Amino acid sequence: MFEAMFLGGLLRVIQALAAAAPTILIGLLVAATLRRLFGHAATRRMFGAGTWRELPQAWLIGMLLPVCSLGAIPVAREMRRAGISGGTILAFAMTAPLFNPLSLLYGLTLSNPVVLLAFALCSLLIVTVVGAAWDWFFPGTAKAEDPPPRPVAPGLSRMAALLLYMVRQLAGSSLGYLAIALLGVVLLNVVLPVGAMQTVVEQDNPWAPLIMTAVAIPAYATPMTAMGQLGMMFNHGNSIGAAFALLVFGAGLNLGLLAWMARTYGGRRSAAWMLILLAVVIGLAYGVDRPLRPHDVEPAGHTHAFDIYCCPFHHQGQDCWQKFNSTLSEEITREQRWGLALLGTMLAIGVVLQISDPRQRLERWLETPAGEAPQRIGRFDWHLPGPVLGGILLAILIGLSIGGSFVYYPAPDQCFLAMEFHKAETVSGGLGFRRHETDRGIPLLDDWTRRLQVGVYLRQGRVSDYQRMKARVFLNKLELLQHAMDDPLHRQEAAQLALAVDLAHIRMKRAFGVGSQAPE
Amino acid sequence: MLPFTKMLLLFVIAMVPLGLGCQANSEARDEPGAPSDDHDHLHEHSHDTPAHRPRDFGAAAAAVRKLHNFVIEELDEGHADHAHEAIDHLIDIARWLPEIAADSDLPESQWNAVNADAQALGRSYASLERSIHQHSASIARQPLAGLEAIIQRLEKLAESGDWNKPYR
Repeated sequence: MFEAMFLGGLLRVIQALAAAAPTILIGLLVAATLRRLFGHAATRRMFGAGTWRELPQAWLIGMLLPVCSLGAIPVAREMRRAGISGGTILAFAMTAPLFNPLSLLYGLTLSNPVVLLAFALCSLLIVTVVGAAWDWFFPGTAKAEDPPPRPVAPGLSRMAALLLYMVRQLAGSSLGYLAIALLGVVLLNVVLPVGAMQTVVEQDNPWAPLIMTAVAIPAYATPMTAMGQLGMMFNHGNSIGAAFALLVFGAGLNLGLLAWMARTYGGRRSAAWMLILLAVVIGLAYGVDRPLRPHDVEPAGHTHAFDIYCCPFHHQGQDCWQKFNSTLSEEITREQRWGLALLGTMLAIGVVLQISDPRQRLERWLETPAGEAPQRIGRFDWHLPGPVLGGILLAILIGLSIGGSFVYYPAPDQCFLAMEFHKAETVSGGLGFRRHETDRGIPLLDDWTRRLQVGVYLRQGRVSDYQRMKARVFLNKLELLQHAMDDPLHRQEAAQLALAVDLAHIRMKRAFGVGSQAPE
Repeated sequence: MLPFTKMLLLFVIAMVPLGLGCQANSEARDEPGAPSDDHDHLHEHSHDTPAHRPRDFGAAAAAVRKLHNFVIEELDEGHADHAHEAIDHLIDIARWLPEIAADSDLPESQWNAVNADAQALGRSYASLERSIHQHSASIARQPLAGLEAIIQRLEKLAESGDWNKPYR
């Protein structure tokens, strides 16, 4: 039992870190940009501090930047140092992880766009109400760091200062908050046995939004993970209110952020904020539950969408080590390994720096002495002011987040090319009742089918009802095959479904204009 | 210490959407065409296909014809209340029809036609159910006008076999 819990917790932490590495790094880069390039005054200007725009502006900036709830922690800390009010910081930290261009596009394929639009507007409402409430109850939380950080000489020094800030943050106090956030993942693994969440968020369960709230607060989900889970919830006819709670608390909040709040603003204020947030989110969750419920979806009765929040191993009768190793080797992709390696390297450098230079003499050496203005070196070698450079960097990040959509969601022929191997593996696994093959292939086919639709939408401006329905039929067949593979008694049914998956894939391919056309 | 009135006011504001949700909830249930709890229970088991869901497009067209004729007979005999279950099933089948048709070899143009016909069927049967619910038997047949042509189109398409020609 202990082995299952220990290895289960470790596996969940590694999975979370692997998924989060890029967005943590982006969060660190944004925080470093605010500190070393923008400075306090420009940061306050960017967030519209002290004006009526600051809450919606924080929401908008958060929507555009590709950070997750772990990556939002260093940014929130830097905003606090710049003297931005608590309400605005929390508004940003809560909404930045909810949506970004990539996840928003992904989400549009999952359900009626109206549902997603309603969720986005509800998040704006939450940010406005809770943020305004915070600033109303607790005025004067905007206290800038004194003295502000000194500017760094342009050029290599400034770049070095950016990197130094990132590695020190990663190995410094941000590490503690990240660890607390991941503790939540371990906690869920201990509390929730295998499959404990499979049937509790059905649309006819009035407690579903509350149960999801309790699970989602300690849970950690990247924006894409949360969006994928929302899609599965919509497809399974689960509670829409629970889906909303999952998005806000699962993607937007984690224990690390709460710990940072409690330490920064005090326990009582944080508790009051949390109560208001709970009241607003749960109120909205129940408010949207029935009006947004899809009428063309059959409730499936259970879902595997939340298995990742539960212990991955049965407490008895299972070789946990073997499953642990096989899951790691099969599920952590090559790109994720690179992300983890980069994160680990930066952490190691940060730890060495913290030990060898705890007083940050290196940073002080890089900082420009007061009164010394940067000089112009040559005709074409200008020193751009920090805020300009920072603005360009953030614009590039946002641009990459938008432009990266075309890479992440390729053209249909590319999608079908990527699907070929996984389809062959899944069909073969279904025919031979080899579950490890279907377990590997089905999620990838599911993912590629959604990316296919977004890719078509991006390039052609629309996905026809016919294409959308063909994709839906294919996804349903995959889902049925996955469930048939759960029970050895369904061996024959699984074989039939494997063939049905193959046929549905061929039909979907032709509907998207890849391969020979369907006869008219 | 937090001002009590501020907290109270905010709590009330926060609860507004909850109240709206409850209202929407009850309104949806009171609506004549809305599915009842009993109806929902047909689908409560995991991935169990409801017994009245046709297995393919041919079966769907046949089921629509059979249920439609049954409803007409019941209305003719003045037993509108006996037709409730059949109308519920017809509404379900109309809702499933686009997906059932997509799980076949129908080309896009024919699927689009089926999709449009399915929407029309669903609207008409829902309207019929509402008028029966309101005990306005005299106008109950009004929504059925034009359905015969749609059902004949579906039958013709089903008989042609275009939907069942795997082109591998």
